[in-house]
Amino acid sequence: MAAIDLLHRRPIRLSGEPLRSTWSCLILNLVVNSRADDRLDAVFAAVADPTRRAIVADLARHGGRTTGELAQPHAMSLPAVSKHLSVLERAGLVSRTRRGRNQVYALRPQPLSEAAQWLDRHHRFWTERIDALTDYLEAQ
Amino acid sequence: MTSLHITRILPAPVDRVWAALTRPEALTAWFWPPRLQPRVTADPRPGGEYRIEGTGMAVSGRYVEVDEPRRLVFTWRWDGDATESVVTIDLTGLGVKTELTLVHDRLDGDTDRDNHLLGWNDCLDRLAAC
Repeated sequence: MAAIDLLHRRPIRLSGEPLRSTWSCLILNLVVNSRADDRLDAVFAAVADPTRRAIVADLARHGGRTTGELAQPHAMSLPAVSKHLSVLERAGLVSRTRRGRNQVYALRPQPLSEAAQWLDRHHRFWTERIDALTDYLEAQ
Repeated sequence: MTSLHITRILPAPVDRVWAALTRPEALTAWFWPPRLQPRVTADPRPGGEYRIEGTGMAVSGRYVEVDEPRRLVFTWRWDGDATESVVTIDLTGLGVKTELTLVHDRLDGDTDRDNHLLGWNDCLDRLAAC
C-alpha cells in the first residue's frame, strides 16, 4: 500500500521529506484553524496529540504499517498505540485492514486532499508573485 | 479551514515594499506578467476596493485592514470563483531589507471571518515551526 502524494494525487515511495513537511503544515493548519464542524472536530482532536501526529507522519512516509511497526518509535504499550489508532480511524484519517494476524493501517488523505490542492495552487501562485515583486524592487 | 503561510526577505526598505503592494501603478508593473496586459485599480483604505485584471483572469476584493507600512489585509476572489478568501500581509523593516509574511486563508461560506483572522494572529507563532 502506498502513501498518496496529496499535491499531485499519485502514489509515492518511501522517502519524501516534502510530503512530510506538507503533512506537518496541513496538520498544524488544521490544529489552529479548526472550526465547529463535526468532521473537522474529529480531525482536530485526532491530530492535537503529538503521538498521533507522529503516527500520521509515519504513515505518510511508509504507507501501510502494522500496529507493532507504528508502536516501535514510541515508548508505549501496544494497547496504548491501538487507542491512538482508533482515534485516528474515527476521524477518517486512517483505514484499517487485516493481514493475517496483523492489523495494517494506512493513511486516508481524502479529508485533507481538497485543502492540499488549494494550498498547492496558491503556494505556487504567491511564490511566483513574490519573485516578481523581488525583481521589481531590484530593478527600481 | 486552510491557510497558506509564506515568509520572505525582500531587497528593499519597508516603505518601498509598501508602495509596491498598494500603489496601482506599481501593482500594474509587477503583479501579473506584462504579456497579460495588466490593469489595476486599488483604493487602499479599509473598505476600499481593488481589482487586478490580466488577459483571461482577474482577482478582486476589498481592503479590511490598512496599517501603513506594517499590515495589509484584503479579501480575495478570483473572477468566476464563488468562494472568497483573505490575504494578510505583514511587513517588518530590516533596514535596507524587509521581511514579508503572507498568510492566505481559505474561508468556508459560514465561517466568521473576523474570528478566523483573530485566530490566526494567535497562531502565527506556532506556525513558525511549520
